[in-house]
Amino acid sequence: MRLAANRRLLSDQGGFTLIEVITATVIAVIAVMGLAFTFSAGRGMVNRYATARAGLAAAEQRMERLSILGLKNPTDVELSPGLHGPFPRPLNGNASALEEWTVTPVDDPVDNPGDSNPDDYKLVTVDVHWLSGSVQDHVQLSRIILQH
Amino acid sequence: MVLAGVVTLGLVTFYLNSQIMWTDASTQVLAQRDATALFELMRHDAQEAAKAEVVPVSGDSLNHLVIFYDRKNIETHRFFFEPADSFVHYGDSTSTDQGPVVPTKVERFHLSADPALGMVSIDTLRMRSTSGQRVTLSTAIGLYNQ
Repeated sequence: MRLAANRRLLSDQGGFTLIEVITATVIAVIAVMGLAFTFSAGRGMVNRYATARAGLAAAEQRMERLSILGLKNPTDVELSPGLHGPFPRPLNGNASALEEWTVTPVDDPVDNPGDSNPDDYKLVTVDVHWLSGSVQDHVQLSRIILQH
Repeated sequence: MVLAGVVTLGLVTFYLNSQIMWTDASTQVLAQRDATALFELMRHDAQEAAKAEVVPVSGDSLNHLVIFYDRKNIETHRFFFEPADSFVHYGDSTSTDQGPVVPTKVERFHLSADPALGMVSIDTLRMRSTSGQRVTLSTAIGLYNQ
């Protein structure tokens, strides 16, 4: 009687098979790794945009300086046509950043023809670029500067 | 059982970290918005100015006071770091303190002026968000009424 009860108990086992456990483990590990990756990627983006913010500030500073120079001394060498730089411009601890700007004379079509001075305006484009890991990031600003 | 516990712990940790992260990010955005608002007000006032004077706040060489003047050398506006409450305050033409410009604590308000060029550089504006995150910005402002 007792033996029969034990046999019934042994034949009535429930639970998971090894394959089920391994499959569940693999799925759980993949899910957690995916979540961890998104978290670290988000953190990386926050740091990347902090550097971009510093890059924008650097470009704005340069542009403001050139705008003031355009008012006070339009013949200054910093406003001569062509490419200026690149110059090192450390950003937010990132030493790879470089700053450069291009000055392009612009002829206003309104005062043509017979325009003795075709350089009516200066189109200034400031570019700050840096390496974010292996990615090349950059900020570019353009402004028309009047020649007074 | 142990495996389920480890996975649950991992998920809970991830959830908490993500909550901290979005809270930090949101408060940083608020601090940055306040910094931008301060810059915009300073830019608005500076562009009407002919001259600017930058001096250290009394007893603090790292934080500054900037005073804008018109062409008649009359003070028009001033912005200064107030150590008592760690805010940047605004003053009108009567030099009266009009109170904080924005309600975010400032750790550093470091300025410099280039009188020859007519430009004020905000070298460092470092704000601290309500969750303790720091937002550092800088810019330059031209004095266009010279």
